[in-house]
Amino acid sequence: MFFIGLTSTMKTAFSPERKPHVDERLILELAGGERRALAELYRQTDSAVYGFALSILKDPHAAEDVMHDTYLKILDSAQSYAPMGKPMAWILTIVKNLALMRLRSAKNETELTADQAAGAENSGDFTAEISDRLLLSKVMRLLTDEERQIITLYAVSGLKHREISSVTGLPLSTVLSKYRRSLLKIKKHLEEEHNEK
Amino acid sequence: MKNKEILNRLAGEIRDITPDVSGKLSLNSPENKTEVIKMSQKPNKKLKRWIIGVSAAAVMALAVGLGFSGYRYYSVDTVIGIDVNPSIELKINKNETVIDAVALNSDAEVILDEMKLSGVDYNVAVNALIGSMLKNGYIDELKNSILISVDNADAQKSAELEERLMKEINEILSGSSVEPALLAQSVSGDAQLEELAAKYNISLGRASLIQKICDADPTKTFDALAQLSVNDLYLLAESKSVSSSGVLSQGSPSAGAYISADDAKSAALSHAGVSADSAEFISYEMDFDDGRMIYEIEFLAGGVKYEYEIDAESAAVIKQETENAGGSSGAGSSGGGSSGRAITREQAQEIALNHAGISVSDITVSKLELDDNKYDFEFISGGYKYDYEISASTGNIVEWKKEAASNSSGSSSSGSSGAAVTPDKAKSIALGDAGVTDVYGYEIDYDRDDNKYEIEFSAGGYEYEYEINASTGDIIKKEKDR
Repeated sequence: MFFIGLTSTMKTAFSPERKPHVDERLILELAGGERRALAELYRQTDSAVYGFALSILKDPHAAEDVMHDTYLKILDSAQSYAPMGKPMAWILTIVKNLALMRLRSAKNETELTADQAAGAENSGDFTAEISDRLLLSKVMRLLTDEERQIITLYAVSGLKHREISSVTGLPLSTVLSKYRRSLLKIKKHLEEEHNEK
Repeated sequence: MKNKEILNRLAGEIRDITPDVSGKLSLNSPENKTEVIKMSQKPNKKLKRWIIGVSAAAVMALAVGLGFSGYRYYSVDTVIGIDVNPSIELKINKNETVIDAVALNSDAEVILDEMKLSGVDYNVAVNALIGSMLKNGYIDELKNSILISVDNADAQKSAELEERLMKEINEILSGSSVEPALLAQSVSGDAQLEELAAKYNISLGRASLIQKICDADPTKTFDALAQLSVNDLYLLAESKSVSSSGVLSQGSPSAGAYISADDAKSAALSHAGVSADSAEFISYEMDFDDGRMIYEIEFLAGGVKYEYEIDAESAAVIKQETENAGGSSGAGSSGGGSSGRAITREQAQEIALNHAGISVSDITVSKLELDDNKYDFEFISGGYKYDYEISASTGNIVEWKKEAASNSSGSSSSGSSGAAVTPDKAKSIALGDAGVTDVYGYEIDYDRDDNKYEIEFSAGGYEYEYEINASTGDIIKKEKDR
């Protein structure tokens, strides 16, 4: 029998440091026409950008497109960046806007609501490509849209709850309670899974 | 699993699947070429390379290497790796014509000797190679595994070619008595893997399979596995269930060269002097240890846990360990031994309920299991979920946990025999230090390994994290973030 999964079982050791460092000067350099700064900025932010896009879109291909467009947009908009010590939040706001734009266009094409469009078009894809063994697939399945975005942002971006609140536009108390609830849901699920074994 | 572990794992997984779009970005800006290459050399992005494949930059580099002469015909579009024991790489162009066939080991030289494959269609070449391997005894009933590795920049094309190759190889072998076990995978220019492949003189495909096994079982080293045949690697991969994702598979690798798992179990039982009826098998798996294929077998009998290593070729007992229910262990000690279980289920339940101060009539749900000479006792009462681990030999409470049974965040506490500071005391230490009384999102975890409490809460717009020593109440670590 054939079975297909695009992900491999490779486990990469990851550092316990969850806070990626984003150098604000890179955006200023970009604004000054130094395009080489983009490579370093990319290196510092790629998984946060992709992870957040994925958490909104639930579709690896769409997320990859948005990731690509995000860096183009950064190139375009670097000049309008106001240095306030929040480069990651600025970048992730771009991701959010591009991702939502994409959801809206999917909605126009299919006459479905954004959620349905994302879900119907993509959740099948997603489970086929993200191995069930991954925690990520559980996060995608178990959590609501907002919970998923909050947890992903917290895990990959190094943003504080307060900043997540400003990026997502949700009140801080909502971010906090959804953050806790998400972790409880995941823990509970892992426990149940463990008990079944 | 703790919050931090969950978040770290999630971040790691996302990092692993983050695609590399740096190549695409820079194609629009030729003056940036040097940066592109720098970006695509980013280390530790194993998975993305599996998906994305060879970057456009690498293809360009190859074209430059060929001096652009006959660019279209001679540019390598795909590399197909075929591993049995002979390891051969076929480099094919966009029209699927073979440009070059490379022998990666001496067995492959035997196969490729006097074969001229350049200029023929890839499927003709595959046919000739498999036919020759069959004729020369590299493929037979005992060695039926064939590893196919496809390296193409386009993941979809790779997958499609993998399937086609599997079908074609099946057809080639359908006339023989061999039921092939096929593994197909996409590989691509992972620098680390290429380095390993070159170091051990093996194909990229074999290297990636070995890497997958090492990842699934960190006790294995690349060095040890590099000497194994594809068939043995496949057996290991299957035993450790690493072949189920990232690869196409079909058929089972032949274990004909080895004794069966049942034979290995009987060998262990007869050595232990235990009858099959009285043994309860916990686990068995094939493994590679100290240069040989072995079975690792664990079973329980008469209150004793047995661990055996059985040589998969000779069925000889290589290693034996027993652990009696009291917890003491002795390598090589002969079986038998009476059960060290002194505590009954009822007593364990009573101990837990006494500790919790709850009467049996107030329990709504309960679970009581004996595992590893400990009773695992779970129950819900008064809106809390209790989880106790009680030693079956001494009746001591090894670990306990109490947490709000509902989904909402509530207070939770846990402790162990080693914790002198109660969770409530730890909470007051943390809150006292922070100088706050009104907190939300309060969470406390007990870390048994380090005998400490991990406390998180938010107050006054700050997030606090504390670690408190559970015996002394000392603050080990604190963090305050806005």
